[in-house]
This record gives sequence, structure tokens and C-alpha cells, in this order.
Amino acid sequence: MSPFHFDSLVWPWPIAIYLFLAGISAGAICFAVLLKHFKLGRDAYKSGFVQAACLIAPLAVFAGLGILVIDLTKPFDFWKILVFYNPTSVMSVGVAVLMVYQVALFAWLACVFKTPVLNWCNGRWPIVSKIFNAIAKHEATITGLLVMLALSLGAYTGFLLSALTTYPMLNNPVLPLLFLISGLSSGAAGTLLGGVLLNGNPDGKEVHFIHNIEIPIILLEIVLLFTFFAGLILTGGQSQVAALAAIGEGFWGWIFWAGVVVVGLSMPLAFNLFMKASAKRKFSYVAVTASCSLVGVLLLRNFILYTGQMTIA
Amino acid sequence: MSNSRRLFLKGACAAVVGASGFTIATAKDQAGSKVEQSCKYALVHDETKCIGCDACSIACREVNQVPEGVSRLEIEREGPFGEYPDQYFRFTRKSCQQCDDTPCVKVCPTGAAYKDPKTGIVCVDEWKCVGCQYCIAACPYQIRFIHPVTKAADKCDFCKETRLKEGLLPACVDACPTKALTFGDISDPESQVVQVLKSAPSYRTKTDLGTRPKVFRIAAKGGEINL
Amino acid sequence: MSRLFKYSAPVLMSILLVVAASTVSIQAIAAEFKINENKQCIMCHKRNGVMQGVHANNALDISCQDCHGEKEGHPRKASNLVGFGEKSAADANTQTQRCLACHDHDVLAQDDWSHDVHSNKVNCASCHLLHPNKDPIVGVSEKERSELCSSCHVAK
Repeated sequence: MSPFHFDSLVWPWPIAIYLFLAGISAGAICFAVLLKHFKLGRDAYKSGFVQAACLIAPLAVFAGLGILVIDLTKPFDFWKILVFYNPTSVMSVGVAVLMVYQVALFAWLACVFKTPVLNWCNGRWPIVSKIFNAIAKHEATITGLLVMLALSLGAYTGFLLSALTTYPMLNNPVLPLLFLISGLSSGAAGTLLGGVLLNGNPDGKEVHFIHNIEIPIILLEIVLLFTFFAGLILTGGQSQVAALAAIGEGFWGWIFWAGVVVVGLSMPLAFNLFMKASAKRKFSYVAVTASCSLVGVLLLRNFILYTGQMTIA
Repeated sequence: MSNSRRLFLKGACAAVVGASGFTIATAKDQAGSKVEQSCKYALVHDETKCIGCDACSIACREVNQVPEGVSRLEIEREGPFGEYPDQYFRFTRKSCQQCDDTPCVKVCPTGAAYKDPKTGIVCVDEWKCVGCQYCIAACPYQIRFIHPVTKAADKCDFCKETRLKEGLLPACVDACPTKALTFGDISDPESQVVQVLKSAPSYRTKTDLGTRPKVFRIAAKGGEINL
Repeated sequence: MSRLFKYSAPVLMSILLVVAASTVSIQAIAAEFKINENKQCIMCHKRNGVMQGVHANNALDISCQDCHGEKEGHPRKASNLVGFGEKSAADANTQTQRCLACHDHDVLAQDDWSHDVHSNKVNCASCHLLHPNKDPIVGVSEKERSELCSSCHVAK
């Protein structure tokens, strides 16, 4: 059986990229919110890390939606998803969440970048300042809503697959949590990588703050991944067959052990612990750690998507 | 600040309660409409009578204009079992199982996949379908496909649009030379399909997934016992 | 050895088919097959005995007797001649044995699964005819094949 072509395969890699992009968008904006709220306050817009997160979040979500639309067999009919809703469909609910998420996202971006935008306008177009002030008045509500929507979006990427009873490996209650947490860690990695590329200080308080959150997140991800597969194996039947086929010998087994476990989880964890101990953080350390995390999450999405579809109930 | 946060939390709670209330209310509505259903079509495939001649799948392709490369109905052949010259095969029908609890309808984001309330037949609204292929992934029987011409998801609908409309039996049932297929209203105790089901033990596949399929099978005597 | 046979048989058959196809296009040639010079049979069976099919090919060197058996007392007295088809006095098993003498059932099974189930219970002539220049079952459409099935398998 070829790792990329088999009879029961319905959704190929573009969907994995879409899931990755939705996750990283949700994760990045969560970290932007945390940075602003707990560390930076009104000056958040000056930080390269917040700028990076605020760039990643909308771009990733647009790119993801673009991929999703192109992947339809009738791309020009995509508007029907927006017009017709089915409350029992995870995809339909997810699209609704995505739409509201984008509104909340831009409203929050307006709150964060109010000062620089209004400075740039310099009194021209009074309507702009009126709108920005009106939005900023509700910043607390918008922030709360945005975090909830971002978490929903992150979990949605997992629910989308876990709703499929056809595939015992995907039809797994741990999957949404696993995707949410790995989405958050990819968001943190994206924020760090983007931040240092945008001339953020690799030893700044933002990096310290994110790393402090990243370590428990990676640990949690390892626990969830373990639970995911332990649960499948203990369930027996086709679930066990699916799990063993996935992490056993073969192409995807290598992707899992070398790509996800070593590069995606162990190495970032080791680097993070090392940086915490050695105190001094450099550009290369931060960039390499973040890249490892991103590669790991992308591989995890592909791994779960492909191996999940290999075994049917 | 703290006031607005409290207000937000209250609002969020109200929204959640409202949404869940709405879902429960609509769920009840659906349960109510089931009672008014006028009939529920089902099919029995008697594997003891099936000879694997493919007359059903050929007729299906002709009547429903199914292009080559995809199919709404296939007869799968297992075997040969036994020793020459006394060998035999086992034939199973691969087509939409017309689930009563439909995984495909549940996941369809636009409602293009739906269960016809009048007949209980699971159908596809070609126009509403955007081709996300979620239903193809969700079908445990793996019988859905993208129609190469319409680009919409397609599958067996008991010939609802082609033969049932004219008061005829589905093409496969009509074509079967050995009368291995019986079609009819399962809610009518006098119907032939109910009589056939009562006359012999039947089985359905993957019932553990809660799909409650309306395609029944009468098992051939041959075949291996799989543990 | 059997593996070699498995591959060589279809290759040989296809070569023969090509040879046969090029020869049978000219009907007159049929009469020139060596098998049709078999005076003993063709004297009487000029109309219903001439072989034009693949089995008539000189290279195969098959005689009427190879399949139908020795003349013995035929036509006046008793004989063990075997006719092929529904109307034949010989039962299905006797008929199929004549074909299976050369055609291995495993090889037949690979060509078509239905050989397995009909095995020695249905005479080969129900589907195959060897005398005409083309066996009618060769190259039938899916639909024609299915109709052939239902010509026997039909519920009352």
C-alpha cells in the first residue's frame, strides 16, 4: 500500500495544510492576546512578536480558506457553504465559527493597532478614528470573544476529523484536544519565528513569557499523543489495527517517530529546557526551536490525516 | 473593566443556553416529523439466490446514466471457496445502505445530502452540493463518489429520480434474473419485502456504528466463518 | 514448470489467435485446414462438421476424433462418440472432461471465475462454440455476458 494513495483515502494533504493553518492562526492570536494582556499592554503593537502573530493569524486563516475552496470539486459554488447551514455538521459549524472568528480577529487587530493607525492618519478621515474608537470601547468583550473563538477554531480542526465514524483512528475523543494543543504550540512557534525575523529581541520578555508557556504545552501534547494511541490500542478491534498500522514500521511510522516525536516534540522541549537553564537566548536558538515545532505540527497533521484514513471500521 | 467582563460572561452564557435550547427544540421537531413519514423503502439482497451475473449493476449504469469509472452499485465477489469441482463464490452488494441514521446527512455542511421524508431514501441535491467530500469520508460503507460530470457527490437512491417516479421498481430489482432482490415499503407489514425478511434470517453490515441500514442481506450458505 | 505454462499458454494462445484471425478472414481457406480433410467424418458432415475455429489450426494438429472420440459403429451401430451441447446424449461431465484433457481448470479459472462454479456440471458448449471461426463468447460485451448468465439462471 502506497503511503499517499490508497482506496479509502478521501482527503489528501491539502486538508492537512488547511488544518495546520487554521491551528496556527488560532494559536498565534492566542499568544498575541496573552502577550498584550499580561506583558505589553498598550505598547503591544511595538513588539515584533505581537506584529508577527497579528500577521500570521489573518494570513494563515485566509490561506487555509483558500486551500479549502480550491479543494472543493465545485470551487465556484463555495458560497453555498456560507448560505446554507446544517447544525449537525461539524464543517458547517466550523465555517460559522471561522466567519465570526475573522470578524473578531480584525476587531481585535483594530484595538491593538489603534494608536499607530490613528497617528498615521494624523487627523485625516475622521471616520477612521470614529470607527477605531468605537471598536476600542469594546476591547474587553472582543478579546474574550476572540479567545473563545480561537480555541473553538483550534478544537474544530480536530472535531472535523473525529466526527467521521468511518475511520476508527479519527473517531477519537482525544483528537480535538490534541489538535487544539498542537495548534497552540504551532502558534507559539510561529509567533517566535516571525518575531525574531521581524527584529524582535530573541532574549526579550516576550520570548521568556512564550517559552514558559510552551514547555507545559509540549508536555501536555506528549501526554495527549500517548493517550490518543494508548486509547486506540486498548479499545481493540479496528481501532487497535489502525493505531498499530500507523505507528508501526513503514513510511508513516518513520514520520511519526522521527518527525513528530523527535523533531516536533523532543527537540523543542530539550532546546526550551536548555535555554531556560542557560538563561541566554540567541536568534539561532529561538529560530531553530520554533522551526522544529512547526515542522513537527505540520507532520503530525499529515500523519493523522493519512494514517487515520487507512483503516476503516 | 471588570464590569464589562462580567457582562460579557453573562452574554456568552446566555448565548450558549440559547443555542443548545434551539438544537434540542429542532431535534424534537425532527423526531415529530418521522411519525408522519408515509413509507420507508428497503431492499433485501438474497445472497443465496445471487449468481454474480452483474445484471443489476449493468442495468443501474444504463438507467441512471452512471459514467464509466464510478458506480452506484457493484457486486463484490469473494472466493472461490471449496475444492474443484465443487467450488462456490459469495456475492455481496456494494451500494448505498440507505441508513436510517445517516452519517452522510449529518456531516453535509449545506444540507445537499438529505433523507427524503416521504420515502426514507437518502438523496443528494446536486445543486446544493459543493463537493467538499465530507460525506464520502463519513460513509462507513464507502459507496459515495464524485460524479465526473456533475462534480457533485452521487450514490444509489433506489432509482428515485428515474424509475420510482414512473411507478416502476428500481432498475437492479427489475433486472435480476434470479429474483434475488426484493424492494418495498418496510413499514407496511403486508409488503413483499417484509414477507421475505420474515421468511429467513437476514443481516446488515456495520450495525455497530448505529447506522440502521435499510439494505438487508440473506446470507449465502457458503463462505468462510470469520472470527 | 506450471508457472512457465501459466505465462506461455496465454502468449501461445494470443499468437494462435492472431494466426487464426488472419486465416479465417478468408472463408475458403477453412476447407484447407488439415482437420477438414478428415474423410471419415467430413464425407457425411460437410454441412455441420467443418471446423473453422481456432482449434482447427494445423499447428495444433487436432483431429475430429481427439474431441468426439472414435467412429466405431457410427452411424449405424453403437458408438462412444461424444457430441457437444445441450442436445447431446453425453452428460455434462463427459463433455467437459474432453475439454479438460487439454485445458487445466486452474488456468481456466484465471481467465474467468465462472469456470470454477460451472466446473464439470455445465457443458462447455453452453457458452463456447468451437466449429465457427469465432467462439461467440470471445469479446462479448459485459451486457451480453450477463444476458448469457440469465438465459439459464432465471427464476420462475
